[in-house]
Amino acid sequence: MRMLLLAAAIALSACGQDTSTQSANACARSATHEVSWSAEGAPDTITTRADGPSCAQAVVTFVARNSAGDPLWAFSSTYYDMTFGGIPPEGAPPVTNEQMDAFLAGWANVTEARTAAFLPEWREGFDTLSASAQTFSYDTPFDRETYEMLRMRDLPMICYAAAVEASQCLIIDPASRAPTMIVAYGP
Amino acid sequence: MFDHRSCIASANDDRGVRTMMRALFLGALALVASACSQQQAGRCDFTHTREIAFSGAGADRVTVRSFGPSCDKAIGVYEIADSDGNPVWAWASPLQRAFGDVFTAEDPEHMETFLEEWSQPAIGRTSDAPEWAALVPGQATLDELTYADIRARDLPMLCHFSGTARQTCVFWEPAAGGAGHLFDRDVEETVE
Repeated sequence: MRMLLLAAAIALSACGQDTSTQSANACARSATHEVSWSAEGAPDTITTRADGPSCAQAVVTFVARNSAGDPLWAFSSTYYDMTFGGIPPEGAPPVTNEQMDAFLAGWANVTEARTAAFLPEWREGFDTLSASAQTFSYDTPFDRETYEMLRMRDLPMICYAAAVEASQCLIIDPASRAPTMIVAYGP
Repeated sequence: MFDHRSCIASANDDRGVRTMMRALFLGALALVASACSQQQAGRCDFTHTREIAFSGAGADRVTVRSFGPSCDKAIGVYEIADSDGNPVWAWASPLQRAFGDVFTAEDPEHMETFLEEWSQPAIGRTSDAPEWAALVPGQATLDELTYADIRARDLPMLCHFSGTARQTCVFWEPAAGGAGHLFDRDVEETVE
């Protein structure tokens, strides 16, 4: 009997380590949303998750995976930077699980669009896309010729929040088949 | 007199009770091991944490995580938190996309070794960063004036691997109590 009690004690001790891990990650929450992006007829999955000692101190991660589970894209920031900007001030109110769940669900619910309809034209004679667009401030890693080529191919695109007032839009590069950011934009 | 003892005559003659207890003990341990490892079974969820001195205000902490259905499909997250536990920087990427086909589903131990090495950033000062003129387009996301100002103020700088032979460098802004991206750089050494 003592041996059984010893085994039970070891069991509690071993599983207790999991408990301490959980308390170090007291805001382990996630949300998922299916999108049609990388391949027609095979939905991708967007998963947003939070990890942190508290929800106010959480790091939040955005992950897109294809239907086979291969990761296509990942982005990470802090909850506070995504919702208020910067870091929390002294005495900032706590963030509830419900608030975090609402944020994660909204973040996972990305905008699905087509490049030709959604993206602004980079008109000839303008040095930057932003100068050409005259609405939001746009940034693209591509030169005008490549940007316009990609835009006019009317590719499926998803856009997700990357900060309080900033979004990033992703396409699947038709040449390399790799996920690529085509624009980042904000006010 | 009624004897409450069992019929065991001696320690060496227990009619199989000890054998049975030993089997129960081992069985219980096996059950425990099974139950406690179910959370990780087949997945690639690992974490490594290390204390560092970055902000200059208490011990900061780097936490690196991998998560995914298997290690060849894992996401890597790099977090820096201040001494109060507030995250000041986070970076994420599919690990195969950043570091190549070095992670296999069959070798999760390699991921743990990688995370341990990944959690060791290079700490320096922003004055070590290259001059604006030496940067190629896209290497920094700041404008020239801001970049030059941060470099001239000689602030704490932390560089972590963000790809094979590639590091992302962030600076500590004491006025804001936060970190920001400064520039990316190629490095000769690689994380195995």
